[in-house]
Order: sequence, then C-alpha cells, then structure tokens
Amino acid sequence: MATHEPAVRALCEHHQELYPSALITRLCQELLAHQSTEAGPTPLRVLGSVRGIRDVRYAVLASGSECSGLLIPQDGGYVVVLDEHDSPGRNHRSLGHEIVHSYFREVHPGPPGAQEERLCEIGATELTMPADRVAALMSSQPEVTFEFIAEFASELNVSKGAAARRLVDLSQTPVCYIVATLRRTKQEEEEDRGSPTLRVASWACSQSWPERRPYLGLSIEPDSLIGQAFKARDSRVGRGDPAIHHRCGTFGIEAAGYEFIWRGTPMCQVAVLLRA
Amino acid sequence: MYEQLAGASTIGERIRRLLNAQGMTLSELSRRSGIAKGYLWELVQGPEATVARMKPSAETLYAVGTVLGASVGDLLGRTIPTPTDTQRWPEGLREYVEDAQVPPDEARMLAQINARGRTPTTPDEWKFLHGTILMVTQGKARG
Repeated sequence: MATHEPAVRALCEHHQELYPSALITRLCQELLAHQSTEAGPTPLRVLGSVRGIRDVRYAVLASGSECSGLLIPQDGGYVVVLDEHDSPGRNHRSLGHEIVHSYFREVHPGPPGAQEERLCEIGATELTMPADRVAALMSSQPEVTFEFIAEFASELNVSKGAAARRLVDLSQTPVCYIVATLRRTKQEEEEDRGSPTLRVASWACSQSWPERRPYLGLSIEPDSLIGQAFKARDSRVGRGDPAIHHRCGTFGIEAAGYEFIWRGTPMCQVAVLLRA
Repeated sequence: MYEQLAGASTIGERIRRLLNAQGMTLSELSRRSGIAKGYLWELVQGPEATVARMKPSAETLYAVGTVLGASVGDLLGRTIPTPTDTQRWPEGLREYVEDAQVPPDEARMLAQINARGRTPTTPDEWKFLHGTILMVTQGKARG
C-alpha cells in the first residue's frame, strides 16, 4: 500500500480497499443509495443523519479560524456547525465535506491531515453532484456552456465554480474551464516585486482535452477576448486564439468577467470555457 | 442519548425509549414528524416480523429522529466509536487546554473536531472556536 496518512490508511484497511479516492467515492455512492434523488439538491441532512449527525447549526466561524464547517463529536454522534456568513451553496458543500470526515473519525482520531481533507473534497463533490445525476443531466445537454452550468448549479444548490469543474471533469467533449484573476507570480510574491497581471488561478479539463500541460499561473493578454471580458466585467463569446501565454491553438471561447465579495473583500475574476 | 439507547435491539425499541425519556406520546410524535400515527404504532409496537418488513426509509427515520433529537444512525443502532489519542493533540490546543483549564471531556471533544478550511493553530484561535462550540451546543446558535 502506498504511503498514506494514518487515518487514510486505517480507513482503507477497515474497508479492505487499496485506493483511497476509489474508496471514498464508493462510500459516498453507498450513502447516496439510502435516499435516491431525481430532482433538486442531494438531501444531505438526511444522509448526514444516517452517518450519525444529529443536528446542523450555524454560527460565525470565519473571523476566528477561517474555516467554513466543523464536525463536533457529541455523545456517540455528531453536530455539524456551518459558517453563517457562507452562501447556501458553500454551506451545502461544507456539510458534504463534514459527512465524509465522519468515515475517517470512525477508525482514527483527529486531527485530519491534508490527504484526508483532499479526500473529503472528493467525497463532497460526489455527494453534492452525484455522478449518475450529472450523467442524466448531461444526456440532454452534452456541451458545457455557462448557461448549462448556471442551471446545473441552481438545480443541485452548488456554486457555479464547483458545478463547472464537475461538468468539465465528466464531459465527453473536449472542454477546459479556467478562472483567471489579477495576481503576481509565486516568485514575485516571494520577492515582493512586480505588479499583478491577469493569470490563471485555477483550471480543469475533460479527459479528451488535447492539451495535457497545466495552465496554472499562465498569463493572459489584457487585450484578448478574455482580457476584455475581465476588464469590462461582462460576457463575450468568440472563436480564436485565447492568448494564454505559452499555449496556442484555436478554440471556441466563452468568457465571463464578474465581481464578488469574499469574506468582506471585493474580488474580480473572469471565468472561461474553451472548447476544441 | 448514547446510554438511553444502549442494549436496544430494534428501531421500535429505540423510538420507544426516546419517547419515554422525553415524556412524549406517539400522537405528538406523529403530529410533529408528519408520519402517520398508525405507521408509527406498527413500528414501535408491532411484532418483530412486521417491523422487519416495514423497512422505513431514511427520510421517514430522519423525520422521526429530528423530533426526538436522534440521528438516523442512532435509530438504526449504529454506535459511532470516537477513538481518542491525546499524544496527537495540536500544540496550540494543548496550550489552551492547560492555560484555561478546560474540562477533560471538552478538551477531548476539541481534539476530535474536523474543520473545513484552516484548523486553529494558536491558543487564541482554539479559545474562539471553543466559545463558538459551547454557544452552539448550548442551543444559542441558529439551528
């Protein structure tokens, strides 16, 4: 067995499974089978209750600990606390994340490590956006568009970003999702020099996307279609070179620039869909 | 909760114990959970073979459990072990527990918490989190 954190190793041994991510996906699918859903968000309160969560409450968490959810053991069960300042979609995902922690806590004491946290994110994705629900929704809409992402996010009560990553991940068509914002390179940050430019902050692509090299940190031409959407905070559609440095090619481009507030701070980003 | 349900072997017996402990009638449970009284009566009083055939859904048990303050897991008789290992306590927590003389059961609870996002590191962050949890578990937070 590969080197895993003790809690991850304990869970794999308990369930006699070699691969942690496959195990978490299986456990989440088994949990989902307790309450199958064909419309609307996954009933996470019911599923959490199956896992021993007696109550879900809301309180201010972020100002002290910058965390968005807690799983608190209490008298042979659990109470989950979610940050009352988070959006309903983020709270929903946080509840999914805490439900997955309950599997680890059955076999190993905390605190959780980074590998367990990553696995809880994988589980939260499966619980909030079950693969069979995604497949059913994509059967009538195989192409990933911002309009479809918005409908999907609303149907399942998840953020548009999480919806985009899940749809792109499971799409059969070659599509790439990019979020870019003004930032310095890691080296510039460390040396505290340079000024922020439009760069890729996160990305995801489908299995059939032709480019396998990562996009993270690559800069984007400010005068490009993506750069214009970012600057104007509006939506633009076109076809051509997306003007991402060190990458070239002709793609269908859908770019949407927007502003939002993150923990009291105004932020600007541009979300991009590239289709081969 | 944990002690109230110890040794109970069926869903019906667990519901019955929780009803008795809270002085609640089946009628009141039916009214508050939205589950038909006849169905609940069969679940609680019916012969074991009948109850075994009923196979109440997770949604039904959730509705009943919510009224009784129990989880579906509690009603299904799933005990949840919470292993503890005081050697693995974070340094900031250890410091906070010693300085503030946190009661042992609350200190164990803090050590077992899972946080989505950044886990507290300093004693002050653990103090804030402890205060929040006490507020929540004492029922002062929005449910």
